[in-house]
Amino acid sequence: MAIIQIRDVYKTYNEGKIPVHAVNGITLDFEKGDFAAIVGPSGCGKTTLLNLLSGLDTPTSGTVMIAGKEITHLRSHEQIAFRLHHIGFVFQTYNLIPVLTALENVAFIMELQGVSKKERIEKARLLLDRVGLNDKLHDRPSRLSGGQQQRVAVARALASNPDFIIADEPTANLDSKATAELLEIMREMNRELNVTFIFATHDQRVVDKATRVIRIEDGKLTDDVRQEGKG
Amino acid sequence: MTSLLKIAWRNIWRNRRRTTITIVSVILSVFLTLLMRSMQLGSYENMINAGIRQVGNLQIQGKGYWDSHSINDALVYDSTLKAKVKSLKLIRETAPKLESFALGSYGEQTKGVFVTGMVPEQQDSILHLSRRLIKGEYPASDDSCVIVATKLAAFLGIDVGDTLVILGQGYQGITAAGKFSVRGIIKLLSPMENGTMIFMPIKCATRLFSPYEPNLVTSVAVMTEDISLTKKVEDQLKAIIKDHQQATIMRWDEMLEIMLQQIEADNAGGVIIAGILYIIIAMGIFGTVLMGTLERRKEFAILVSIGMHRSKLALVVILESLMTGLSGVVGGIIITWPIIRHYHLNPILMPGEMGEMMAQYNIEPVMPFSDGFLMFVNQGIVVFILSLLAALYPVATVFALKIQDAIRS
Ligand SMILES: Nc1ncnc2c1ncn2[C@@H]1O[C@H](COP(=O)(O)OP(=O)(O)OP(=O)(O)O)[C@@H](O)[C@H]1O
Ligand SMILES: [Mg+2]
Repeated sequence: MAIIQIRDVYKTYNEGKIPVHAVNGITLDFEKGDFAAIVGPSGCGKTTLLNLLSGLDTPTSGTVMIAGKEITHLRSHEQIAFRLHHIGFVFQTYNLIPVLTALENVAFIMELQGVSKKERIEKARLLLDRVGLNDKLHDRPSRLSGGQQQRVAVARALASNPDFIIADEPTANLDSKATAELLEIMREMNRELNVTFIFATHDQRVVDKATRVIRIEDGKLTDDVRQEGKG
Repeated sequence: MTSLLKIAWRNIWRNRRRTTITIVSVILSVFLTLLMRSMQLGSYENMINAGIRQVGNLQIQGKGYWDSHSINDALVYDSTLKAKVKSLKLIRETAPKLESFALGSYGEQTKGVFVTGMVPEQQDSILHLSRRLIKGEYPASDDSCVIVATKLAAFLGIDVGDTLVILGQGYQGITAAGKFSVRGIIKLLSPMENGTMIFMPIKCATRLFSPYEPNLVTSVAVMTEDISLTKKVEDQLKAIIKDHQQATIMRWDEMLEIMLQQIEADNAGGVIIAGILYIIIAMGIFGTVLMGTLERRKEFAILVSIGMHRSKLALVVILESLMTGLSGVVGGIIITWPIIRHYHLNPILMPGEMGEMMAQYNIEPVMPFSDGFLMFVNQGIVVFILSLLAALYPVATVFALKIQDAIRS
């Protein structure tokens, strides 16, 4: 069964004079193990779609089911708890708590989940090692490069053992070397741990790596192709 | 929870300069408040203690005497009553007095005087009267003599060794008349008392005012073992005098009512100044915490996105506020403590109105700073509460934060 089922979802913003149909009737499934890139022109509704499937936003109509559970009607604190246990996040910037070290940042999400201290430190070390940062455990984000910060964010997203990871433009602020490294790490995790990644991106390098490319225009699905991810 | 503490503590130092300024302002306010309160509370404590030394924790009096001050309302403190009072374990000491107005004259001069008959040794141990003697000697219980206050002595032109004539009305209308040699001249702090007071051993006073009722007293001051026992002893005494027609009991706070009111009025001014300083503290903390919160809206939004409950974020904000405020209090107490301690042990002279007020009550106008533990605890509690209040609005912004807007911004 698909881990995410989006059925006939609409999202209309009525804040300006004319209503904006940011998501205009999308039906879409994500399977376990997808490494999917959502692409399309700026303003086409990528971020809105991601927000709908993480519960950060609620659809005007339609349903979003995650792991068999309808999330659209959860109350706000239930949604927060749901995200904590089911969804990992990598944002474009400001991902990490600036006053915590890399290790503490990764451990913190597990602390929120109630994982024991010993276990979370162990797991955080392991994951940071996996993303190639075992020499940066005790550095705060300000002492890490943009690419390193994003790798810590990936480690943190993985630490919570989520059903899937959402990454909205994770490479937008990175140079090509850092982008390549980050993509490589995520693809490895995707292969080895069968973790699902969903990206919204303009970045061709991300699209090239993706095993599935979903194209959106004006809030509508226009294309959905599976491809052999390069690399 | 330990992580939240860690995050909060590190957060407040993200803007090192802003936090330092805030904490220094709290330290300064705490410093000023503590110093001011310590002086005020110290002088009040001093006054009250001195007042209690004069009147006792409690007094046994004749009914109506407190208002009339007439010797006819005095109490016959007979041996039965005395024995019952003496049997109370919590009483340290009882000090009888027989007092009355009379006329004092020497040579051509005559003046209204207030005669206090007391047990000389006892008053000396309680009030150190002999230290105020500027001439002559301090009498013993069995002596028949008087000591006269300086201003009165000057007015009458009387000196040690001269004979003072006292004339007045005694108990139940008898004539009180007597001649007493002046044994000493005493300087009292209160200008009013310094112009009217005459002390004599209570035995002389009895012979003068009440030769036919040798047990007559106008008051018996009762010193309890500890001031906290006042209420308990009051109840015991009341039980004893329950069937006594003449006797009544007064507590120190009833007898010192006017002084306590004056203290309260003086205290109100201090409380207002302290209030202003507290508002400064609260505003400083409020500004710092609010700015810190607004600056981090995006960070907070991301934390809520990844699954941190707003209540935990709010807790971080509250902890930041408390840590800022309490750092200030602790700093303030640390720098103020040695100063307060020093002036507690080496009191300074009390200037101005307050000093005059104290002299009126025959209290040495010095100001030992209070080093009361409670004063420091109260500072801590007040700043704790202020920090909580200062965090209210910032916390509200955390709960009102629109996640997507904050992330998009
Ligand atoms: N909270 C909101 N209030 C009003 N309009 C919004 C809101 N969020 C998004 N929109 C509008 O919805 C449309 C889709 O926006 P969205 O951010 O999803 O686009 P996007 O595909 O992520 O664009 P980009 O590639 O630039 O990130 C835009 O027209 C945007 O202005
Ligand atoms: Mg977007």
